[in-house]
Amino acid sequence: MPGGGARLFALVSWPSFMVAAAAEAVFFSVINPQELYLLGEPVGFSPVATYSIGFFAFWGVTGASSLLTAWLAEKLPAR
Amino acid sequence: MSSNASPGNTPPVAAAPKRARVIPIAEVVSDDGELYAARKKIQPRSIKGRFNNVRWAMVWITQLVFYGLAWLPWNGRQAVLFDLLERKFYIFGLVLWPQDVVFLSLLLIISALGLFLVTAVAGRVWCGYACPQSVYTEMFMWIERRIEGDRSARMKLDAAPMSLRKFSLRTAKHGAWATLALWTGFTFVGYFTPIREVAAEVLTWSAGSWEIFWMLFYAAFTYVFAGHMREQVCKYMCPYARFQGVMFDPDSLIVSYDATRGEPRGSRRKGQEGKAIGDCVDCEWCVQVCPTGIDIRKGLQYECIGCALCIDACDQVMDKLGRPRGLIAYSTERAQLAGKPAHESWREVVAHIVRPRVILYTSLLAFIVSGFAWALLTRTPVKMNIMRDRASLAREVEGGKIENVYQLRIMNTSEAPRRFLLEIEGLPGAAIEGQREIEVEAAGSRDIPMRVQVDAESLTPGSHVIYFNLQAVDAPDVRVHEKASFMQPR
Ligand code: SF4
Ligand code: SF4
Repeated sequence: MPGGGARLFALVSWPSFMVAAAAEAVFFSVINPQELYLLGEPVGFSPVATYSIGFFAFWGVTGASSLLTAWLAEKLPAR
Repeated sequence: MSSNASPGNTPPVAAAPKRARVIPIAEVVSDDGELYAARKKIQPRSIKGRFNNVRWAMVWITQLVFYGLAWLPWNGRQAVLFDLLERKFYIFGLVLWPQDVVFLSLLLIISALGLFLVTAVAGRVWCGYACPQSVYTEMFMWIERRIEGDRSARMKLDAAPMSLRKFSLRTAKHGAWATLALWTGFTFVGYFTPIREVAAEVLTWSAGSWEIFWMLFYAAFTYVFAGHMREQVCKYMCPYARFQGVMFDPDSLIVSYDATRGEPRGSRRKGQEGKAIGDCVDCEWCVQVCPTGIDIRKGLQYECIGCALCIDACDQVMDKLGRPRGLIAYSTERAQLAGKPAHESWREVVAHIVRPRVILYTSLLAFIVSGFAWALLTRTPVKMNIMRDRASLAREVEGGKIENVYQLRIMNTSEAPRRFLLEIEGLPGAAIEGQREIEVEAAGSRDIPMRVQVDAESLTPGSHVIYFNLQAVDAPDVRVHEKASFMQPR
């Protein structure tokens, strides 16, 4: 695999992508995007936009977690 | 990450047992001895043969299904459609609603168990023949081969300085890859929005921006994974590849090299006939055809995706030499430990298949599949949600009556329009005001407000239980019975 940046990107983005996809599926199969509220107002986006934004929000969160884990694993003191 | 922090430090190559016939599936033991060493570009040689034919058959089958199924009509709609707008999944005659999420989870569990079963019996056949990563990589490699030539031509091209020829070959390759990737992205979107509508929108340049976004996203994904990353996805990113060690046992099918027969390897030169020499002529064909760039003669390695192309390669070489095929063949660890290249009699094959792990997976699978089928068959094709109208909980109306308003959502999950009759019970004297017969279109739903009135005098203040019965007019067994509450405010 090419250099460190690309490797880190693959290691972080891919697992978080899969988990985000799973989270998206579970979340939106139980919650109708049209019943969501954003800052007290019903969400005004089209459903596809809500699904998409939801997906990227999930991915952002899972990605942040993966990145943190990668960073912690790197800093793991040698035993 | 520094390499010493990377998961699974790689033992130096020298430490790897040289002639072990079976190496337990190990962490990456690559030629460069470095887990994350810069990738050497792999330019596999193309090979014809039995297993290559099977692989191509699988490419055709899976891709005809993927690209074709989206266009198949069924009862006036798309046969397989995950309709995000209406929140309904159509799978041929089956219409799943958000309430049916359990069916989808069951389907996922069934697929996962199926994969376990297949892996226990036949090793990584999924990887070699059916995984989209393998299938798209094969298709992209085919394009590459048509445009840039086979292995040696491609390696020459890689090394050559940029020229008009190289530039046009590269442009043609990337153009063809991009076209295939875009078509794939379009098809992908076509499973979530009716594909004919999307096609019309694309042709008239009026597709929604999110649809275009997802098309490009999935296209880019395909392009990068199948065109550029290829075996690295399997080596570094795929969880299944890491997980397989758990599903494998000594009876799982693996691609392996018969070292007893092959070694000591070497080319047969004239004048050396007397020397003891194995059947492997060290032509390296098995290495050159391998899409993951490994040498199967070093034993079972974690990178091997079980594509069996090295079997095809070696068989050809053995045919040319006039020696029996099977120096590289499908085998099992158990057969190898018994000193045989593979199972010989059908008894051994059956014994290899029928074992506790397989029986366990099979019975679990059978259990879940029958539960799934039973649940599907006995599913009532109507659902009703009752919500109390929060705006007007309960009020007094003319004639000394109390009225409660409900919002009913009635979902007809069958493939034909239906009429239903609504009744209430459980509350003496209660009556429905207004329409009691409701028609719902095929696979559709309807929201209707429902007013229920009761004589105020006959009820104590507080909450009372009330039942709604919904009964299909044409079928006595199609009915639902739902509980709700009725408020008497005074
Ligand atoms: S290792 Fe993973 S990505 Fe690669 S072929 Fe197997 S399942 Fe597919
Ligand atoms: S070693 Fe053989 S079976 Fe394994 S990936 Fe390479 S060519 Fe395919």
